Amino acid sequence: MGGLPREKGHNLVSISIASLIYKSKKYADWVHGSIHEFTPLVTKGEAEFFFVANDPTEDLLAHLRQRGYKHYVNYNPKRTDEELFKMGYGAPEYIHRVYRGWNEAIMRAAGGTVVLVNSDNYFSPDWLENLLKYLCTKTIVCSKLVERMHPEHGIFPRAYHGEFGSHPDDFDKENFLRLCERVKTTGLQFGGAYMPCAFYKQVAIDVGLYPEGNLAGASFSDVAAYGDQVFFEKLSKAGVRQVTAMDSIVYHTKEGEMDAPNSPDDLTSRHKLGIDQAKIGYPRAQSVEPVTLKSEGERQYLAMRGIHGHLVDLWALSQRQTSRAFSHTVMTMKRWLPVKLHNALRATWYLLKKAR
Amino acid sequence: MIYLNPEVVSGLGEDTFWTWFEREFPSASFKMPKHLRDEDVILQYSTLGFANRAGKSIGLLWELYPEMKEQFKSTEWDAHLAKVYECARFSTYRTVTSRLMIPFYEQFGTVDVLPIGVNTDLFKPLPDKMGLREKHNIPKNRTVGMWCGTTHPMKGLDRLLGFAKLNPDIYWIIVWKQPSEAGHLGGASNFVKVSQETLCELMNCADFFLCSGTLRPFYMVEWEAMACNLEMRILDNMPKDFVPSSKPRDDLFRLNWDRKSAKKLWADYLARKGITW
Repeated sequence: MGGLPREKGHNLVSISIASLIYKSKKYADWVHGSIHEFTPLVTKGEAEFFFVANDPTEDLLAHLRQRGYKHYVNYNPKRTDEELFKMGYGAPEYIHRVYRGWNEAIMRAAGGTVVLVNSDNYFSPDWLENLLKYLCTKTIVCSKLVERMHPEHGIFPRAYHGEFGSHPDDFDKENFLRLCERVKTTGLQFGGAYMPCAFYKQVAIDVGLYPEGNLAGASFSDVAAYGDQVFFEKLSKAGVRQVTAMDSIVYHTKEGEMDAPNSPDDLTSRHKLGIDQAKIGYPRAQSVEPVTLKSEGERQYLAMRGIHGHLVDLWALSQRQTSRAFSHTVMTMKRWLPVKLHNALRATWYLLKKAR
Repeated sequence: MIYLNPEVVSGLGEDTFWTWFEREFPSASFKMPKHLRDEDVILQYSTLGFANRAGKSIGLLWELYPEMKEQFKSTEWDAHLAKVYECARFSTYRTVTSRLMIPFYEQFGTVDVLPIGVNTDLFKPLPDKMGLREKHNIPKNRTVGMWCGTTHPMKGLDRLLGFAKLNPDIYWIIVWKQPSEAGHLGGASNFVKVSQETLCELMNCADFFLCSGTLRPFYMVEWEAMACNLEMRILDNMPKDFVPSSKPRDDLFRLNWDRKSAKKLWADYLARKGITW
């Protein structure tokens, strides 16, 4: 609480939430309404929400203007596959424009904290507060997704499953919010879905933002690495770890702007799913265990241990058991063997150990 | 399982929220777990900070430090406040007992209002007021006011003294919470650290209860006075949670502050969070 008085000229916005939008008025209304309903910081003026209208249709632009939705228009250069390949980018062509859109969103952000969301996301109470509470210069914090079982793409392995609709028209808000209340839990998972995500604007700039496309391999159609994967890896190399806040819950219809077949957003979802599904699934909340992440100040975080943590535990346990068994054998020998024989055996043991 | 993490379970040996909750919810335990299951929760008292367990936790943000800081413009309680805010920030859910406290915590997320619950079987109107006055050596022919508290500025002892000076006809029953925090009001019946049964009897000796505290939410002892149907006089018309009617016991039931209603509210709340007990 506190801060500067609200006077003309003072910029109180410290958090910028942004979504790309291409053509769907329905999704624009949906995500805008949801953000405003469940993000009190926007109402208070501490956070802003805006669209990047990315190569938008005239119809959509008129809608954004008519509704008074804050937006920036971003027209991207049309580049051929050959031109993109020369720049080091691979297929598909549209993804070049998508990542340019996200970078535009980051650069347009008035706040030092940027939160990127998809237009087919629906939010729940405290989603933003619970992202921000884990945010520091060493983390990029993502929301925990709830997804329906998509007939084609299935469900992201680390998402909660919930059948709450595939489109704003059939969205079952009441039951989605009920599920959120039931499954919300304090804790973190390492890794997770790439959006919604919160990070510091300067950190993103320092690592060079999103690449403007998927990285090409030997040819344009040969994709060496996906753009968001590269962005998160760059952050990781800079010491910024991706975590998922298990109390920031967001629904994902996985349809993008569905009324626009083959729209970039729709295709982005598909390619993201491919990446995400390739990753190893994490266990669910019941095996969450507190760990402390080294970060600034005294702030402590909770995190779910991955399988490596359990393996380390198993190894330590087996070591302890081996050690206990060995001690037991030594004590038994000492008790039952003549002293001289015991000492001779012990000396031999140490000689062998030393020689090894 | 419901894990209870209080700062003090029962400071005066009284039946508190904690002892009541442990009794009413079969699986409630004061033993903190190493791990929480999906259906478990920790009720974390705010001054203890963050529960530091992955899983569900409910921060009980009952302390009035934020209100005190604002009222007294002091940094005296900042260390406590840091813990309280840590609890508010990292708890899965936040609860307060008064809607007046919501603005202090809503920066951390949704804040719910849930009652502590008053034992209305213990604190209730008793028959034979004159007999009780005789028992406790309270004059039978005087208007009797009651005040409970400590010498802490938030309790408004100075305001009580001012009011008593302006109204010399009133006889006072003064109940100090602890010997270490006790003062003395001359010409009044002063009691220190009385049992809940005695407190109820003393409340039934009085004609009204004086609310002189400088903080807006009602203190627990004021809720207990309401349960005894004692007239509540609020100094300087200070804005409170509500203005008690001439039948404050009815107000208490209406607001679900009796234990039966409080239990139902807590049970429903926990069930919605997927907690089992």
